[in-house]
Amino acid sequence: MPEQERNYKYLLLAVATVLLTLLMSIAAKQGGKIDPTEGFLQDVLMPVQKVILAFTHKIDSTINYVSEIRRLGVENEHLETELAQLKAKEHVMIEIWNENVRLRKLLDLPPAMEEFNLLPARVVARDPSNWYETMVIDQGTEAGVQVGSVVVTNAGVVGRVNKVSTRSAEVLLISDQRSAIGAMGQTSRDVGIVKGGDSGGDCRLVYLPRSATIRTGETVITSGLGGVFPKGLVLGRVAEVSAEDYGLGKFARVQPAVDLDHLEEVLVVIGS
Amino acid sequence: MEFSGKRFLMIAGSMLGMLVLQSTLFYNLRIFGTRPDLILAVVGSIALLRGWAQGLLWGVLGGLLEDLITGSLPGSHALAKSITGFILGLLEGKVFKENTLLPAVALFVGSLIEGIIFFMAAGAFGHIKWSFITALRRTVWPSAVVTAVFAPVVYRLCEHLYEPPRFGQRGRSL
Repeated sequence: MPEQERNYKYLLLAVATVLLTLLMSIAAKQGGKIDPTEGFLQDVLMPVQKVILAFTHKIDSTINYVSEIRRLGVENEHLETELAQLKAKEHVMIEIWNENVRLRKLLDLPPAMEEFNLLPARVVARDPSNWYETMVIDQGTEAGVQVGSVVVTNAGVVGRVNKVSTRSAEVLLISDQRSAIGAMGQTSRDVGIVKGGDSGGDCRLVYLPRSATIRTGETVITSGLGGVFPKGLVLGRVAEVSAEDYGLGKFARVQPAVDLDHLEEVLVVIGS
Repeated sequence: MEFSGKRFLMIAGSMLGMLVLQSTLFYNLRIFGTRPDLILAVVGSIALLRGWAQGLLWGVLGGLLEDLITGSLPGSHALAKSITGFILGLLEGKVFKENTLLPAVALFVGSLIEGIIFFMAAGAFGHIKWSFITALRRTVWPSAVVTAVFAPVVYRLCEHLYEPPRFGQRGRSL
């Protein structure tokens, strides 16, 4: 009997392992599609997650408001000064923009920067595991969101849509270890790839040549190479530049421009 | 393996509730930058208390629930958690259940096993881009430590749920 029982339990474990491996291989082949069960569960749980998250943000903002009321006064004054300076700069920018459009027309060149249609979405949940950096938003195929749609905020790039159902979508953040985006230094124009999964939620700009002149503090933008992310979107700022092992090239640690841990609303690029 | 519908719903509901709270209210609650794997703590505690069959069952169910709610490859957490639940369940009857250190030590080892299996399973389908050493350093090791910290509390709660009939009481059929 003990022998039989031992065989039975290992048989059960083997059956479970085979079935779950089969499930993984089927799911892996589906790519970005959310299977009906997953989509249903995500859509059903979304209102509950929305309420809990709204409650969490309310508590957070109340605590922040009380503790930071003095600092906010000083910051407000500083921001007003900055706003006045930026307004003055904006007029110059508009002049340069118009000149750029005129000259491009003259040379018969297509516009370098696209204008986007943006869809606002609310963050309803985050991946609680320690392996992935994803979040769920409350807009899906019904609103025009597709797999690969780019997600941004006014500060910069958040990530891209990884999976989508009718009323929700899963966004792969730029800090996820599976994320890789064509990028370049805004000033140095050094081209590389920004990969997620670095320590502390940072990213890493890799495949930089030894001759790269990128510096600490430089803004990193999307290069447009790869076709998913349009050119010129802000990814982050260089925190540190180091040499690769064996000195073959360089890499830079990049701090994302967006505070990915405290996102409440995002914008989905649904067309240009 | 005795079956109780009410207890089944309670455990499944608790797991779902834990996942929803961890993905919303407690998302930023981290120790050393890591979140505890509460689902594994429940699976491991049940396995230690009730044996390999329940460890395997709750590993599959808890893992599948996690796979469906999070962004992981469906089946990957279920596979890792079911094997871990099965292994921890083999300890049932061989260790002193009242020992306070038991859940912490068992869940620490269980979490390491779960992390390595998950790395291999999800990695085989291209869902992990880290090297083994990076995954061990960034996720597997810190997660094992933090899960072990929470394990005694979860173990006591599960123990309460599976409280055996006391002398003079009728056997519970819940």
